Amino acid sequence: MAEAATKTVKLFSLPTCPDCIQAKRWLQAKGIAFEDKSVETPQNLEELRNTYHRMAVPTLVIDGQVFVGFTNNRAKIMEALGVGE
Amino acid sequence: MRGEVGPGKQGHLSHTLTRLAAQATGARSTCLDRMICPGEHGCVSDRACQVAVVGAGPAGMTAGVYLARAAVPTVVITQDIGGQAAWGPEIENYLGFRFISGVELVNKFYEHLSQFPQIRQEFGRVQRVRQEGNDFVLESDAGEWHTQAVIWAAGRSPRKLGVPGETEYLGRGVSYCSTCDGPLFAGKRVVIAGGGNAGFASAVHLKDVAQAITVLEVRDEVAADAAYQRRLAEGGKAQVLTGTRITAIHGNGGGVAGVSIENVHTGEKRELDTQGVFVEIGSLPNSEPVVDLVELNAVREIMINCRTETRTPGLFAAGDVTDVPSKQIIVAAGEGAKAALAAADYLVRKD
Repeated sequence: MAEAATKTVKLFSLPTCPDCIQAKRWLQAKGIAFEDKSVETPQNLEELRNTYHRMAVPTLVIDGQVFVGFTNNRAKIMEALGVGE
Repeated sequence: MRGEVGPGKQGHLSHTLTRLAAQATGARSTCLDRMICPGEHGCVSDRACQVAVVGAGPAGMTAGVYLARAAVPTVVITQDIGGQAAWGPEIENYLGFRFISGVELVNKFYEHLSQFPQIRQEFGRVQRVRQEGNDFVLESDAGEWHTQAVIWAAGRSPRKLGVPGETEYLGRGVSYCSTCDGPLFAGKRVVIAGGGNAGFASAVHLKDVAQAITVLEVRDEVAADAAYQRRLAEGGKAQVLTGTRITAIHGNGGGVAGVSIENVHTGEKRELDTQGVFVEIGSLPNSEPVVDLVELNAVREIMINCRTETRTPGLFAAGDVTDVPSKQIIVAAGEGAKAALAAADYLVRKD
């Protein structure tokens, strides 16, 4: 957890997206602070498109490392955050 | 749940519950009634439990609830919550709800399951199930679990097109979930591969946000219900091309820019400009991890009998991974309930 606390985590999400809900649930359960960037907000959508060149949610950005999808990337996300199950 | 038990079954179930509750308490704690012992799961250890339910879609979550009610120590191992049901933009006629979104319905299921803290929840992908004597070992990316019975309710995964560009542009315009990603394509041109109910449901969902929609169907007729076809036709924003397949997805480096399509009869090829490709061409059953223990039908669904039993005693299967013909949420939930009751009965008879 100490390692995760030092990471900057952004979560691009939508309320209609089930995998986003799971990502939030998991981050909250792990006590990992994250910036929840709903792409219903135009600036967040522009950031997702123009800065990270992605068109999907959830997109997690962990210290600049981009992961599209939570469930399918759980192991890699855990590794990037330095946390266990 | 009690209200759903028929009067003729009460005596037998009551006997079953008593036996199983005794087993559960003997296994781990002095708690006499797991229904009133929140905060404690009934598994023997962190790696052993009486039953593992694999999958937390409608079948798996219903099985979990029924096993909780039957006081059977259970772990639910899953990669996600809701499975395919969560991806539905609009679900009609799940009893009690004329219309509800997949996310809302799945959240209700999950809240219900989570009211039983004695059901342990583990996130992980089960890669293989094998037998050791009469028991089972589940090999997952989060370690091994040992159980006396398994309910395999792992659902299905989206079928992929298998064309160049599909993997490269996943998340950059290629999507398997219009509910998730649809709003990102506001004002864009999108293509939907698949003319079944899922494809048309996605098209109807996207119609309100996308600039233009093209539905592509390989066969000469679409398979979507007439109601979906009518709804898509309203507004004139969508075209449907039958006898047509995608042969490649192209991009401009940043994201999808177009697709190559081909007439399956004439071989005529052309390009379509699009920023989004939604793939809705069906799904494949997640049956591989249990393939050594079950019979599969021609489309690799697990064959079960009317009690959800597979050919291996103690291994049950439920939901869309099975050969039960109607792939409906309410059917999957019902099958999950049947599997839980059958597994509970199996444990009683086994001892």
